[in-house]
Amino acid sequence: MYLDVIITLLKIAIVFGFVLNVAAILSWAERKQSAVMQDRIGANRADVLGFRIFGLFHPIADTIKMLTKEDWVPPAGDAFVHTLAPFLALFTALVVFAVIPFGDTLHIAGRDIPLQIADLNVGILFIVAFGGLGFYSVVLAGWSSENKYSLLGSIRAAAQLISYELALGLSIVGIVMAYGSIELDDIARGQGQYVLGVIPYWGIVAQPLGFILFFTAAMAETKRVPFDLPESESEIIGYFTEYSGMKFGAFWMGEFIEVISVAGVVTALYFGGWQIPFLSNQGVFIPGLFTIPLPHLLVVLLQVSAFGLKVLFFCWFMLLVRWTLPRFRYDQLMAFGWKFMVPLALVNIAVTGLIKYVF
Amino acid sequence: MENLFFYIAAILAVASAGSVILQRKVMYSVLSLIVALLAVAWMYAMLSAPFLAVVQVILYAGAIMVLFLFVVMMLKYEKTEIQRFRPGLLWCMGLLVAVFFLMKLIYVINRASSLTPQVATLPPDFGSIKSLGGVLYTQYLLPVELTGILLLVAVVGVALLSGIKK
Repeated sequence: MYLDVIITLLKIAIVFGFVLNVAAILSWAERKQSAVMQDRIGANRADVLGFRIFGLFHPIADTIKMLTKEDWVPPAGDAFVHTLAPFLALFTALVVFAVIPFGDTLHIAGRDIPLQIADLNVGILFIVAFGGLGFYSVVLAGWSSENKYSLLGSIRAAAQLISYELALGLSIVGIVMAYGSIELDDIARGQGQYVLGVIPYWGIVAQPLGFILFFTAAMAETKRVPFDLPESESEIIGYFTEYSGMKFGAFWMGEFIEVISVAGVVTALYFGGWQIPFLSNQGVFIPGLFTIPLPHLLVVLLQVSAFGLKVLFFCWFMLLVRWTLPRFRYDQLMAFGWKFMVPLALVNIAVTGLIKYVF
Repeated sequence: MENLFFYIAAILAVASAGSVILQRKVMYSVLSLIVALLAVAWMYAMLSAPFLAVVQVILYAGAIMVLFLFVVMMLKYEKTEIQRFRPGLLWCMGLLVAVFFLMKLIYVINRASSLTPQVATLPPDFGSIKSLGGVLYTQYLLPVELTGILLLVAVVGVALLSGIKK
């Protein structure tokens, strides 16, 4: 009983430790990546005793700066809701990780430990539900600031989030049909099969169109370029204009955590989760040829690190997209969501159903 | 342990529902209603109906309350607004609702106190998406399809009202 509680707490600590650290590093990586892509040197000024290590002290310097800044609440605004909004932003971004499986079942000392914080039998719907609640942080932030520009920014954000949530939900239906389960660990396990004996049956193989739709819609949900109309940090004003100090920091980190959670969900659904091609639970496995047995602990360790690496890859990929594409115009954004993504997602469901029916 | 969680959820639901009608600011009423809906979803999850719980969060807390929030956000709430209603009429309606609710409450409590609690044995897949989908698409196929048509009509209506260019 107590051991179960300790194991669960340990899993939470590992997952959230990973997520929060990667989020901090992403704030550095984003600046460094943009610098490299724009032929600049980039963030490298923060130094401790003359050491700069590629500017890796910048996240720490940022944190100190934001924690010590004045915490300003607009006097005309609503202080309670104004404080609530950044907490909601962090909560809804973090809670998604509770259902993402980061490894197969670990057998150790006679116990079976599923490497997933909460194995809910509603799985993906949990992500949709709590991802959807992220909407409130945006809208409440804009409203409680008592600032017309903030309010307009939050309305833009709300319209965008609602529009793309539809495409997001519909694109997930395809993957649920392909693997016949709505639980994330079942989907990840299902991706360990092989097509024609050689191609790993990952989500991207089963649902290529679904992957593109999901990834695009999920990127729109993170509110980053090319979908950054809600904030538009470079010229028009967004919903967290009236925030300062660590409350602004919470929105800022919440955005990076959202990036990691999108990367985590995309990995779990479309890129095999923890699966490594040709590595089964028994060891290296080439279908029909040979098997090299490996110890169980090593296999699990390899799979968990594979999951971490895939997540990091998608985080990096989203930074790449963010510094490559220009922003959509607002009407283009809406038309793209409603007239392109939603019909395509519906077609995807129909085609998936047809293929499932024929085979 | 389960009792403890149930009572936390129940107290949260009742307290936030009370807060919906007691708050002076409309925005706080809306937020309280969201908390109440989430607390009810929590209870669904404890009553082995996880799908219902998640749908409650997605549809009620996530979609319908969004509408409420939008309206509250767009309308600037003034103290004078409430004086435009006729206070006497408001009292009258309030009393009517309160009496009706009290009668209902007494009826429910009366019925519940005469029942003895029993431990029901549920089939293993009770409340799962598979079993629910199976029932909806076989036994209740006609109502499901009719509801679908109703929603389609609503969608078409919205598209028409929002002014598609001719």
